[in-house]
Formats: sequence, structure tokens, C-alpha cells
Amino acid sequence: MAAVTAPTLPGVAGEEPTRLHVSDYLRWSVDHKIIGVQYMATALFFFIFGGALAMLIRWELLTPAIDLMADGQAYNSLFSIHGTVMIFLWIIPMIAGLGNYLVPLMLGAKDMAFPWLNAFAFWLIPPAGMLMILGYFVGQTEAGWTSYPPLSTLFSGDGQTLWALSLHLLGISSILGSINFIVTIRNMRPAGMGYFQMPLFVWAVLATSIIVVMATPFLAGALTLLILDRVAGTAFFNPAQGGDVLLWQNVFWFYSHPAVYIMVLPAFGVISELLAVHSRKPVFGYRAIALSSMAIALVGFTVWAHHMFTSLTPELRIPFMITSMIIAVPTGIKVFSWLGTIWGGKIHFTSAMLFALSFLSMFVIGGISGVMLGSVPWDIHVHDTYFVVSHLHFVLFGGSVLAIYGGIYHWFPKITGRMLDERLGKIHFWITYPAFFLTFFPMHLAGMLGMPRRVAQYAPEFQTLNVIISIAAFVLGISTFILLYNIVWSLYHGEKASANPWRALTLEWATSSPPPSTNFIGDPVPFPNPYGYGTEAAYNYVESQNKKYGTVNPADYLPAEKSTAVTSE
Amino acid sequence: MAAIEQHVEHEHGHASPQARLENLKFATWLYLASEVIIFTVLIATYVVFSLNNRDVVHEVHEKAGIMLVAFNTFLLLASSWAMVMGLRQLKLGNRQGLISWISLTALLGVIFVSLQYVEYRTLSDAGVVLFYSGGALSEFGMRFYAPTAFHGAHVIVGVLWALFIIWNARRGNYSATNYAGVEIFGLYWHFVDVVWIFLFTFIYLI
Amino acid sequence: MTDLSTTVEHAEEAAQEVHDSHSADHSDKTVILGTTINAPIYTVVFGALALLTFFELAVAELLPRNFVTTTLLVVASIIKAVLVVLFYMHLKDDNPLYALALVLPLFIGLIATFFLLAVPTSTY
Repeated sequence: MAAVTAPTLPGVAGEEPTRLHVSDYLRWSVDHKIIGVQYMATALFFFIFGGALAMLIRWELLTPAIDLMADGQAYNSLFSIHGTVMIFLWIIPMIAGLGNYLVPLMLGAKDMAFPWLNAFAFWLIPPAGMLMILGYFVGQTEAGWTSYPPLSTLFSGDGQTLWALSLHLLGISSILGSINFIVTIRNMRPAGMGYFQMPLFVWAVLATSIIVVMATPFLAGALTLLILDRVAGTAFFNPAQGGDVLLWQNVFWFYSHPAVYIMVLPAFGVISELLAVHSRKPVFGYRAIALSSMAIALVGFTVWAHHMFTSLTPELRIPFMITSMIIAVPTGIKVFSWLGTIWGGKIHFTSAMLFALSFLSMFVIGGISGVMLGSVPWDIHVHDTYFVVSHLHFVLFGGSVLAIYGGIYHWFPKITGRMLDERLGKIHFWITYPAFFLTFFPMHLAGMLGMPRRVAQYAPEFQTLNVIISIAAFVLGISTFILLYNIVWSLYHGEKASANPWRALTLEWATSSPPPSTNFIGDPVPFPNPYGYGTEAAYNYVESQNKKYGTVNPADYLPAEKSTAVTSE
Repeated sequence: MAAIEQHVEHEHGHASPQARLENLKFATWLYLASEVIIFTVLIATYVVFSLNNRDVVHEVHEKAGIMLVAFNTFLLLASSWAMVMGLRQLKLGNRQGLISWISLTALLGVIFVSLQYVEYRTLSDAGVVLFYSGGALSEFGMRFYAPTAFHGAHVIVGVLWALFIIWNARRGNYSATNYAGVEIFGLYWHFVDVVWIFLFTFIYLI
Repeated sequence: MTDLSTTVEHAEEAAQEVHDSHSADHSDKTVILGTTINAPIYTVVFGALALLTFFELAVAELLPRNFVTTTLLVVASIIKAVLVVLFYMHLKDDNPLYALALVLPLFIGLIATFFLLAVPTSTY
């Protein structure tokens, strides 16, 4: 990160302007803003790493034979580390970073409830990431991100042990972080902000944190047993020696199905913020969105066995099919509420909004293919095929990652004090969106035609589809660098951002950009309804903030023809 | 925000002692919530095996006897009692009482772990081993050692924590109004006790 | 939902009340079912825990293992755990939210355990 300067605020004597340099982000710090940026920068690094692995996967799959990789095992390591890194070292830390930066600001608090614990939770991630990368180079981490035994016990090398240790550290990190979030959200809200006046992103982080605290220990338990099996000579997962091979699958999915919601609920929160702000309308069904997060958090614990339809006894399948269908309901409530939010609003097609809208369209496809997979007959047909790969990428890339992109465009001004370049942002969007679709949508077809996942060699008739997918994937990979270039360029040359460039009502904008070390000067007063756009009171509230923290000039951040529309609220 | 006072210097998250106690207690309960789950995984692995292999469990029970473990259980319950009595003394303003009671807690914890070591030696001599060695006894062994040793590790951490509390108390860091550190250690220690109550019943009695 | 929207100030007041109600625990005497025992409540609870442990031992050693004795043992251990949680961990007087932090994972853990018990282990 480059030098980021907080302006001296008018009327605040004695407050030194904060000057942060790169070195401030490489050190131990208990400031939630620095920790948030540390999380996000680390996550972006692993995003590039995992993305590079994905490019290698797609390169290998250009032809039906093994040509790029030395053998099938090398390919196995490739997709195992790709999956694990993207989930545990990109999406989850990235969301933790956004949460860390934004939750205290949105609550008008000076910091998280436990600043030291916050820093500790972050500093577990770099060593965990190193272990994970080491695991890749030590080799034979080849059981997939799900690491089913006996693949992960009898047929994997030491890399698998490092993989398990790394996940253990990441699990501890995310449990500690989540405890911090829950305590902060419950105990540090400002006067005048009840639970139902909280921004929806905070609601989403709360629901996510509850899942993390309850679900991650399942993974910790399973990993402990796995490590014992690998290191201490026990046989928890080896049926030949009195173990139970299904135990791992059960306990792993006790964690990993809720983990899907750990990754996607904060994305829902980001989307709720973005849609309301950029279409200048109150959120439709605020309570419905907030409570459906909690419903997803709880119901999410009862659906895990739909990942095991092919290994379960038949009579246990039906209950899980039913719960899997039920969990689509709260998600549907959210989607319709979002549509209601933008319906009739003054939509500003900023980069952030474009990504939010792309989330809406792509995530719905992922949700629908999820319901398809939740029904037993369909699942048995497409089990372990590219249909599943397509579904999970529509949910995690089309869901979480697109929302994170939108979040980056939306909150970058607050974090750095400079706007991201809108033109580059739109180029980024218009390359990412079709490339994403062309990468992952044809995978549905490949899956339905019977192409199995996790193979380096495939039947020649799938080659046409795979070449299309690979070319689109390369374009998608390149499009990421537009964002990175934009971030680096804008850090130095971007337009100076005002305190509230999007004229939003949530509290993170009620301070300078970037915020001073103590976040707020005086106690911020939350607007009664965080999404009460379109009223005179909201207009006056934003105006009074502008007076306090410097004037906002819409021409600085919006194309000329739009600026009049904004000022008229 | 009344609880969060403004400081010009960069103090992050410094709250009033009462708000700090509330934060710490809530965080500890949440931490214990995650501990509940991880112990559940380990105990469930044992219980599933135990219900399907009654004869193996009986064999081990015959070999090991119950008296040592029963005595150990009593020790851990007593240490929990000493812990809460120590906190009570502190809240009454008697810091020396706190030090004495917590010392007793730590001592009982140390004896508990030592006796658990003796028990492990007896069992491993009788063929109940952690790693797979070709018999039903080691199938029992891995599922027995995982939860009990994990619990033992928690006791060891608890003893170290108790020593830290004693060290802090001797430096005069606690008082009748400033007892957050002791209270959250108490929550942890009683939780370890509760886990043992279930381990004792599910592993040694049933 | 009103109790959920407690702000920090309210939490402080509540905590103050809790602190006051603790003074009952600081008494050197305990009243149970009308009889006064010359010991703090914590010691009385410890006595109950010890008695329950002896009861469990007696049941386990003297009676044959069957459904009834197993149930007795489980119930006794649950009572012991509840005693520790209510009195030693002060949940009796503390924020009910903390009880939720204990009950929710227990509930999820029990679902998981019962599911594992329901899956036949030997047929795969």
C-alpha cells in the first residue's frame, strides 16, 4: 500500500494527520483499519496464486491428454491447492478484511472489541499460507480441497499433513476473528442503533460469525483426527483397521456446508449495501434480508449430507433433499428483496453497481443449479461431474468474488482516500462478466454430458467445450490484472475522494477518507434508517456531513450527465 | 458510546472496566461454544464405537478398574470448587484468599494430569494403545485417547493459566472491582470440568 | 427482541444488577428447602456434585448395565453439568444470551452425534 494520508479535519486541534506508509502495513498493528488492509492485501496475493494455478489447470485441459503436467498426481496437487487456497486464503480472509475494516466504522466504534486478538487472528494467516504453499511444493497434496480419506490418508504424501496444519491455523484465525465480530456487534453499537438499525453488511457479518464459531470446530476436530491418522498411526478413517471412512465425510461437511454460507453471506451483505446506495432507494424488506441471513445460518447446519447422496443409505437421502430445498427459500427472499430495492430506483451504473448487478444475475444461476443438485435423482446423474464444478464456481465466483469486486470499487475511496478509475473499472467489468459466463456456463454442459471433475485426461469429444472454457478462463485471468493495475494506479494518481463520494447514509462515510486513527472525531450520530434514501432528511444529513468533512462535488466522481441526478437526491 | 471514551492518543478499544468485563465474558462464552463442538466430534467418535462394540468396552473396563479415575474425577470437581471459592474471596476483597484458593486449583490440576499419566501407563501396558496394533483394543485406544488426551491438554493449559493468575494476583493486579481476568479463567476451568463430567460418564461408566 | 437491543449502557446497568445479586452468593450461609446450611452456596454445590458422583459410581459398579441404568448415569451427569454451569459459571444470574452460546452448539453437536449414530458403520 502506498502512502495514505488522512486530511486534517476542520475544527479539530491537536489531531495529527495520520500518515501511513507501506511499512505500517508490514508490522504488528492493533488498528482495525490497518488489520483490515493487511487481510485484504494478503488475500489478494493468494487470489493471484490460486488464479495462476487455475490457469495451469485450464492449460492442461486444452487437450484430452496429459501434456502440461508430468502426471496425473501433479494435476491432482494443482486442483487441490487451487481449491483450498481460493476458499481458505482468498475468499474467507478477504471477507474478514472487509469486515474488519467496515464493521467498527459502520457501528461508529473506535475499534473492534479486542484489538490485540484481532491482530493475532490476522497474523496466523501468513504462516498458514506459507504452510499451504509449502504443502504444494513438498508434494502429494492431492486429495482435493475436500480431502476424503483414504486419498488423504493412505495415498497422499507429507504435503497433506502440511495442508491439514495450515487449515488448522486458518480455522483458529477465523474463530478468533468471529468471536471478535460478535462481541463488537453486540456490545459496541452506538446509542440510537438497535439491531434493526444496523447496516445489512453488519447483519451478514453477524450471521457469518455465528456460523464460524459453531461450524469451524467441526473441521478442527476432523483435521485433528486426520493428522493423528497421518502422523500417530491411528486409524480413525481406515475401515480395514476398525476406522470409519464416512466419518470424515460427515464431519467435514458438518463444517463445509455451513462454510459455503460463511463465504456467501457477507457477499449478500455487500450486495445489500451496494444496491441501495447506487440506486438511491431504501432497501426493500430490510428485516426480511436481515432475518433470512440468520435463517440461512441455522438451516445451513441441517443440509450437509446432500454432499454425500451417493454414499448415504437411501433412506437418509430424502430428509436432506428436503432441507436443501428449504434453504433456497431464505436465499430467494433476499433475491426478490434486492430486485425490489433496485426497482424504480435511480440506478447509477458505477463499476460497483455493475458488479452488484452481475452478482444478482450470476448468483441466481448458481442458486438454481444448487437446487437442481439438491434433488437426489439429478444429483446422482451429475455427481462428481463438471456440473458440480460449474455450480460451485457460479456460487463462489459469481457470488462471493463478484460481490467482493463490487465492494472494492465501493469502499476503496474510504480506505485509501482516492477513487478507483471508473473507466478502467468499466473495462474490468465488461471483460470479467462475459469471460466469467463463458468460462463456467459451458461446464454445465460438459457435466451433463458426463465429463468427470478432477481429471487431467478426458474423452476427446469434450475437447471443443474445454477449449472454449479455457480460452474464456485465460481472458478472465487477464481481466483480474486490470483491477490490480487500477488499484496500484489509483493509489498514486486517482482522484482525491471526498468523505462520502457515494452519498451513503451508513456511518463508515461519516468520517474523513481515510478515517483518522480514532475513526471518528466525536461520537458519530447514526441516521435513523441506514437506507432512508430519497428523503429530505437524508439529503440534509449527507449535506451536514459534507460541511463537516469537506464538500462533495459529484462532478469529481460521476460522469457529467449523471451529476445533476445525484444532487437532486 | 458512553463506554468508549475519547482519547487523543491512539488507544484502540479501551472501554470502561464494566464494559470490558462484559466483552471478555461474552467472548469467553463464544470460545467455549466452539470448544463444545470440537469435543462433540471427539466424544461422538468414541460413543459411536462404544455403542457398537460393547464387549471391547467391557474388556477395557475390567482391565482398568474405576477407582483411580473416580478419584481423579473427585479431584477435578474439587479444583473447580476451589476456583469458584477463590473468585468469591476476590469479590469479597480478599486477595490473599484468591491466591490460596487458586493455588489449590492449580495443585489439584497437576495431580489430575499426573494420575492421568499413571492411568495411561496402566492402560498401554494392558494393550490399549493409541496407534493401530492389530486388535480391537487399539481400535478402542485411539478413540479413547483422542478425547481424554485433548481434555488433558486443556487441563495443562488451565494449570498454566492458573499460575499466570497467581503471578498477576501477587503483583496486585486484581481487586474486588477488577476481577475480569479471574472470572474468564474460571469460566474456562469450569468448562473443562464439565467436559470431564461427561467424559467420565460416557467413557468410564457406560 | 427488546432485550437484544441492549446498548452498552443498558448492559452496564444489567451487569451492575448482576453484581448486586451476587451478594447472595457471598453469604456464608445457604438456605435450601427451608434448612440453613452453614456454608457458602459453592460448597453446597460441591457437596451435591460429590454425592452425585458417588451415586453414579454405585450405579455403574453395583447394577447391571441396561437401558435404565444407562439413562440414570446420563441424567446424573447432566444434572452435575447443569449445576456447575448454573452456579460455578454464574449462568444463573448472568446474561441469558450466554446460555444461548452454550445451548446452540450443544444442539448442533447433538444433531451431528445422533446422525453419526444413525449411520451404519460396517456396511461400506
